[in-house]
Amino acid sequence: MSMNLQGGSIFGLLGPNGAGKTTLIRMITRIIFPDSGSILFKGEPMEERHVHQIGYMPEERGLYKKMKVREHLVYLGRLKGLSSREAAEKINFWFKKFDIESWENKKIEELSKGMSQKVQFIGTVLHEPDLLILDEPFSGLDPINSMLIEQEIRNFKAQGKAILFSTHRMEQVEGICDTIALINKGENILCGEVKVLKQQFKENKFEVGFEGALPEHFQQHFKVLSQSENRAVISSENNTSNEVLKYFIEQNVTVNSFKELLPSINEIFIKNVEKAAAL
Amino acid sequence: MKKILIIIQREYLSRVLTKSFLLTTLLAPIGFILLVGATVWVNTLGSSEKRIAVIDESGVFKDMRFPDASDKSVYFFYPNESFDSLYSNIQTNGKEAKFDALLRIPAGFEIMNPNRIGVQLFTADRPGLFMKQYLTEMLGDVVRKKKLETLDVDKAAIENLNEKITINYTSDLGNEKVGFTEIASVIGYLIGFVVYIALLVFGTMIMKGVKEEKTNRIVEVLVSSVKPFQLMLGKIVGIGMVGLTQFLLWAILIMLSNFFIVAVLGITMDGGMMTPPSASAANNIDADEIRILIGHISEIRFLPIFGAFLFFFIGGFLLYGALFAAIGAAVNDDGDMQSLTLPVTIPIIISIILLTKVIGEPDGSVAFWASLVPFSSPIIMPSLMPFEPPLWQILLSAALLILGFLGTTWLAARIYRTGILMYGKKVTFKELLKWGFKG
Repeated sequence: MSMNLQGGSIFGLLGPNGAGKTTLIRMITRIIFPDSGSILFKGEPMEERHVHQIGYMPEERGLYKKMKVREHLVYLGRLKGLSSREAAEKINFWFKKFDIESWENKKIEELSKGMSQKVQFIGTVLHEPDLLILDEPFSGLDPINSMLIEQEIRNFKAQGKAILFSTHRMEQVEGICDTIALINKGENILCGEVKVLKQQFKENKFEVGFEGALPEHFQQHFKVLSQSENRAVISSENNTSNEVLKYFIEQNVTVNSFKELLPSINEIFIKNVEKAAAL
Repeated sequence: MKKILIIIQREYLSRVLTKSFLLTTLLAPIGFILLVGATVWVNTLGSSEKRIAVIDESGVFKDMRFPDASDKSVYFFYPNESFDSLYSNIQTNGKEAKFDALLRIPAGFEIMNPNRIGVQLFTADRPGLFMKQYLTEMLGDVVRKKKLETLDVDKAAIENLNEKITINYTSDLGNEKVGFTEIASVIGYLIGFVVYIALLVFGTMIMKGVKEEKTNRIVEVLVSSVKPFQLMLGKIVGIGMVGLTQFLLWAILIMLSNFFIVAVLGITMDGGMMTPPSASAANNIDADEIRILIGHISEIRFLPIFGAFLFFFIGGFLLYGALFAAIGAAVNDDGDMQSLTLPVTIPIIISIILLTKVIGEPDGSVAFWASLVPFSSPIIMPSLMPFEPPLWQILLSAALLILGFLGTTWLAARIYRTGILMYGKKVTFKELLKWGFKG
């Protein structure tokens, strides 16, 4: 397994349950140690001091129930090397940003699940890490909070930070990640930029919207996957999209929409996991 | 190191700054006082008073009265009635009779051969153990005295014969210490018991704290910031400091209440503690003895005792705390916790059982070995301190304890590291040892 995270990008770590995502993340965060291989951080072999530059939000996460929100965040910040004062300033910033200033003296046990997720997120990013590792960050969040967190993740990307994002929910990956690695049973079966992968796994499918009738010998040129009154999905292994469009225009078909259908990450994922299982 | 301090701070403050800490600190001594008070009260309550009618048909004891029990739980009266009327009274009225028992010295009772005819006792219900014992002792005394009179032994000589012997124990030659052993024993017991309770209470606190971190998945968040070992050590030390704080507060409370007792009640002590002179109850401590005992307290060298108490409490706490932490990290549910706690609590319980033997024979071999083994020395060694064991024994015990807690901490850290992130697996004691020694 080999992968590379860039600053200013979001890296999705995908894989079915039990693939080894959490184990990999625990190795990066030095909770457990690899039997072999090496992990480099900013070009140097990963060491204890680098841990302060990582923010890790685990999938299964909890907080001390009896502690108050602010108190707890100060504690987490100090364990990441912040002074009490620095921690307090940053907590103020985030409280304002999420508009939760009234929570500071609430006990963790009084918070709802969504609320404590927000606190958890603040705790993860409080020390402004250069590498942010989020394990299933959206699990248990309502749509509004999900959007809020997603926006923050994009902000971190804009600030040039590297984000490692582990999930098994593909639709999120598509919208957020720049690069993905697909792992299964501890092996990296696919890795690359989302755009490139989509191109790599495309099956030259096109969706054509039209008016009127289609030419008679149309079916000899293309494989028709589905067809309705004014819409057809076709595939053509040897033609580029321009060539396909050119054909329709030359046949005097009124085309009112034309789109190349790229595979979703979900499709690529399933296909590759099945392929790996078959091997 | 800085992180351990932050963890210690949290563990300490989150426990000390709570209402329940304040309450237990204040209520525990009150509970203790109530317990002691209740024991004393039950003792004074003792047996309800027993009225015994005496009918001396032999006339042997006509010139004397039988002495009542010192606490008036048994007393005698001499009705002017015949045996038959008294007998029918107790027989018909049973427990409602105006006396509880009828003591008959039949005609023909001979003082020189008291068992030929024998003394008879009639009761409506079964006579209590205390009453029987008192009667046997009292009659024995009285008959012996009468026998001596019959033998024409001089009265002064009888007094002389009956005189009790006080032994002046001299343990440290040239340095007389009367009644020292009793005081040393009491202090020894007290210290042993406090350490015993503290190890169990705060050990359980550590275990539960670790388990909370595990089951609430807090540890998942924390282990990316701190090493598991730091987390474990921080918790043990933080909770240990909670214990020390509690002791300190109790010490202050005791000093304050001592001051209060001396100031307010001290004057009444002489009169109040005076017990009526008794004929037979040899275990009654009279006021003089108390004064002597109080005098001895000043002879006890408290500073080394206190120092040893602190050292061995801290050492024992680290030793057992690490083991409790390891168990908290390994378990997933309360059932597991109970079965795995047992192997850790057993040596603590054995130590407190040995304590009686140790204090009974402070220079015996049980005391010696129990004071050296690191699993029992935290309780045994400070309890031995009032008996002033040789310095080399104390130092050897301390050194072994340090080795002991380094050992258990090493073992526990390995179990903790494996266990704290392992969920859903039922763990056995054997498996724990495997994690510890091979992991």
